[in-house]
Amino acid sequence: MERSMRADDVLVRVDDLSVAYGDTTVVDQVSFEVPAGSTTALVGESGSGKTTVARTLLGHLRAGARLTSGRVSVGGRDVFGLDRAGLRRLRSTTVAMVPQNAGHALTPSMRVGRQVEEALLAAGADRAAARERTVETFAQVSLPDPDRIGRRYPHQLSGGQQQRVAIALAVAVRPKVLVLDEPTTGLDVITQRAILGLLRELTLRLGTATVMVSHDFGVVAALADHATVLRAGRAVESAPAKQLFQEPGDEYTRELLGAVPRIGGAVSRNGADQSQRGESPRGESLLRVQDVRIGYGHRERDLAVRGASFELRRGEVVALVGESGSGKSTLAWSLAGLHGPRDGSMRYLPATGDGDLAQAARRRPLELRRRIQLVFQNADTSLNPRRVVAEAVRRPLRLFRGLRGSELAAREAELARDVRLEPELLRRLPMQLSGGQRQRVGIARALAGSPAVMVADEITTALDVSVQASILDLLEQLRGEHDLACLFISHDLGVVKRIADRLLVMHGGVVVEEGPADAVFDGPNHPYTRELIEATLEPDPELARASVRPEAGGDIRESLSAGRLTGLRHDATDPGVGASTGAVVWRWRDAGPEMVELGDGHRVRQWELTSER
Amino acid sequence: MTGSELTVAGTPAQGTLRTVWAGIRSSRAATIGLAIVALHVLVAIAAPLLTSYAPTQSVPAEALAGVSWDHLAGTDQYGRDVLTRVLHGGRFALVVCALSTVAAVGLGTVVGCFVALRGGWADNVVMRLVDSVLAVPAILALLVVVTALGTGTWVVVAAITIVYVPGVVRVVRAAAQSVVPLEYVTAARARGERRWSILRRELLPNVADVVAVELAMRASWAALLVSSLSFLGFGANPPTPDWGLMVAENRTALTVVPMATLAPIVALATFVVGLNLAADGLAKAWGIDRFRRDGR
Repeated sequence: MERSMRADDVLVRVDDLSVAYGDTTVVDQVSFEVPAGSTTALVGESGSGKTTVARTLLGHLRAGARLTSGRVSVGGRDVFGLDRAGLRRLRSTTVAMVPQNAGHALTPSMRVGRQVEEALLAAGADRAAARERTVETFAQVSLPDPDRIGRRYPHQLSGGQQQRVAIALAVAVRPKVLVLDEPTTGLDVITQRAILGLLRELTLRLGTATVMVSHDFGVVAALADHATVLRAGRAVESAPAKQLFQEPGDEYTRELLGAVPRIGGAVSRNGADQSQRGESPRGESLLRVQDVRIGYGHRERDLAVRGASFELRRGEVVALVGESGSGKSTLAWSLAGLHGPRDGSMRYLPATGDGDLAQAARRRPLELRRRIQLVFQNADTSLNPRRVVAEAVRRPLRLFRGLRGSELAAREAELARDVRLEPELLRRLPMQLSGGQRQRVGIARALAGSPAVMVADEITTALDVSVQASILDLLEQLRGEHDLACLFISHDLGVVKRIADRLLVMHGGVVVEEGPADAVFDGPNHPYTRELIEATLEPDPELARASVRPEAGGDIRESLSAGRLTGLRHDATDPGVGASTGAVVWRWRDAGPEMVELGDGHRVRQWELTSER
Repeated sequence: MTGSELTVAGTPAQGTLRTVWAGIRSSRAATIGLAIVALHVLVAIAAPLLTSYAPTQSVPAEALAGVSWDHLAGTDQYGRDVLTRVLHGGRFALVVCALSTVAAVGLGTVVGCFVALRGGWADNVVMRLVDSVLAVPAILALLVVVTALGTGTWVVVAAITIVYVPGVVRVVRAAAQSVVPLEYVTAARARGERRWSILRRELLPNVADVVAVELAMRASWAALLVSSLSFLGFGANPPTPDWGLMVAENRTALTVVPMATLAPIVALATFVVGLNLAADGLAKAWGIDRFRRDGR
């Protein structure tokens, strides 16, 4: 099915769109156009109305919302002027959407092939053609073994593969317009890079007009040709991507871009902080973890952490980095006494007793228990929805410090001020607070026991960039004020670069690289670390696009000979660059447990090369 | 405690009560249901004031009389006023129903929350026990208990409690299991809180809506069960006025004085329908849907 394709074909035209929910205007006079073969991003923080705008392209409004002005036309038809049948036709053939969470968007009890076929049947294809087209589409989205993968159920696929199926579901009917709702938000950086590369290629090849919704400027930079920044339902700025990132015209855009953590260049932390970090004296060791192995079952393959060793010093922020499933959260939970290690030792060194952290929280002496505190990722579920948030802070104060009455109230207010929160806000229920405020309460709760070590498990992941920046600032201040050591768990290297003194990179349950933040970012690295660094998207269209290009990352052997990698086991045979034909892909394989010392505490676990066809 | 402390502590309780009240008010079904139930309770309490007859006073001369101004619902085979007996007849059922429901739901909630929190082998053992009790038909289990232990009010209460606890455990455990992995519970565990304390502070407030609906549902089933027992002759003893017993006593005379059988049936039916409406209304008004709407 060939379509006449002119670059100036405007397929999506949103004109003066306003949407109200009750009496509240959630979208206020937004206009934009998307020509065929190009991508427009709607960027903004949560509550900016970006998803509401994107969904109007499918003629969808949330229950209770209504159009108060404007027009949305897709492929030349006024979406809100269509009757039910027309709308159904529009959705089945002209416009398709890739949802945020593919894991939830796919029907769990239906083979993925059937799900794609169903979309094709709805668009009017016959059964045989649908089956053929499904396989074709699976190949197009680079799913492995496209002939047979359709027989699988969603749970048998990885997160990245599920997202590919969701994309296949959308592009199978060759829609003219593609709506991407935060298409890579739940994915780790390496998978994200692959998915973004695929989306970019598909948009160009199929000539679709793509509208993407995102809060992540890195993703926008990688994909969008044009971007509209939304704030509280209003478009504050609309510009070609390059221009938007290089010379943002609006104050708000500048603020947002300034808050995005970056890993490249000298734009990490401000100068004063930088020098402070350089001079920060190596404090006494607080925590020593040695050869810890943690598992959820009894077998060897149930191990989530298979041998981790590190130290944490007073006043130091150590970042624990790795993709989901690398064992970093398990390690954190174990330190907090929620899941005992199978063997190895974990000690809190300054303790008067033996400071053994291998025992469960309940068995630890009170004095030890309060020294290590956890802050959680999800501010929505980390506070009891039925209790005022003061209760969350007051409970540990009573339990750990034995405070009562006016003393308790005074300390409670003091903690609120410590985390820069109005003490009055403590009288509210969690749902009456914003995400950032809730996260501050979570931090206050951890501080209530006067801990020496704070374990922060992805605490900024669910937050908007500007809120994220303020929480990171807070953490920075707190570690000075309270002399805190912090184990900061994150998969976002930009955030890590901003806050961490040292890095621990985990992969498959082992620490593959450890060292001072600057040394790790400068390299040379373990191949996995390198991959993580290269897959991290900078808010800069050129860098981000280079990063998602299919050939990005390159050959592992080239990186090795260019000096970007280290830690290759010395007795392993190095096939050398150009030793084989192009069809062979070289990968790394763990060859630990020995680490290669690079000085200043920078250590890289040994690995070896392995070829794969 | 300081003043500010008190006001802060007062906020959630007030808030919760107000939420409950708003939930009931927002649902017509719940309002009507609760009104019916309240009416039944009032009538049972005030029964002696509402009629001029004694429920056990038999006047053989007036036996099997039809509907008249003296006897608005007629009389039964011993000449007792049917309306009087119907008004009094809820007392036994209501008391047994209330006591056993509160006992069953209370016990079941604590056990359900506990096993959800504890997990592991304790969870397995308790749930298999629950399965085995649930496998026995309720009325059969009741008859065994009553036959073995006699037919006192307390025996019936205990028997119904035993029969209903497993079901409550199962429902509450399921609700609690979705709360246990949430991070505020994890935080409490990392603080090294005692299990009972976690259960009371973190779990109970968040399964309260499920428990409330369960309370209303179980109460309606318990009312039916008590009446069934009485009908079978294992609940209230003659000459006590009781709905189930009245149906059993008067069904032979159904064709002669239909009101003597129908009146207690209508009374029982309205009570059960009231409880069911309340349960449905509450479930809809502040079940999962409502939580989503607020948490949006």
